[in-house]
Amino acid sequence: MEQFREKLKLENRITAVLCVILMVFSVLGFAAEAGLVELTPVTGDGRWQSMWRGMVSGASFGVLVLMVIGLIRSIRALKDEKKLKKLYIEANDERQIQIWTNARATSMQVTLLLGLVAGLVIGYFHMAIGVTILAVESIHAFIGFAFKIYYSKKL
Amino acid sequence: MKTRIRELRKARKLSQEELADAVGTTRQTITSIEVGKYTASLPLAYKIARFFGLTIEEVFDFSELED
Repeated sequence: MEQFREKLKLENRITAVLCVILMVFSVLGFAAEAGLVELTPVTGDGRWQSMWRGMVSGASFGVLVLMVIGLIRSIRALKDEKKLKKLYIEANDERQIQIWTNARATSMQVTLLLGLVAGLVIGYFHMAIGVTILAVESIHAFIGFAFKIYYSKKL
Repeated sequence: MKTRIRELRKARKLSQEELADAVGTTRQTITSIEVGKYTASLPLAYKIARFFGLTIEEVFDFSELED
């Protein structure tokens, strides 16, 4: 439980730093949209850049809100033994760990297959995009295989 | 895997939440084990059996493994 407490404290520090970074992204994005800050040079009519900036700012803000909620929950748990124990059980519950392990393994297989098919089909229409997708999927498969070898030796 | 957990728990008038707290797991895991959807790991099976003061074989039904 002490190890979990220390791990939680470290996670809280990292989360706090990430929150600050996300806040900067969000604020810059909103400020740029409001015309208060000039960020990247505009190409064309700037419509796509504006849309991209808006999307990134909005997503950053959404993620920031979720991270702040998680951070508050962690800080409260560190002050209350009962809440800390509950958090510890939730984080180490074997059934949840197995669910996530199975979900990640299946999603890796599915995304690999879908990416392969997408790369092959899109390659007929736009070769550069098709090759990029196939390259990404190859790296994905290679990394997956590398971890398989690693865990085969470890376990 | 079939178990006697529900029967043992009710005999002691315990809720799933109370049993989960006692053995260090979640209520959802206890529910899944009781209905046979999830098979507990050896450490968890040991904790549950020990909580009831019984052996693992007295709590968990291993007959399907022998078939």
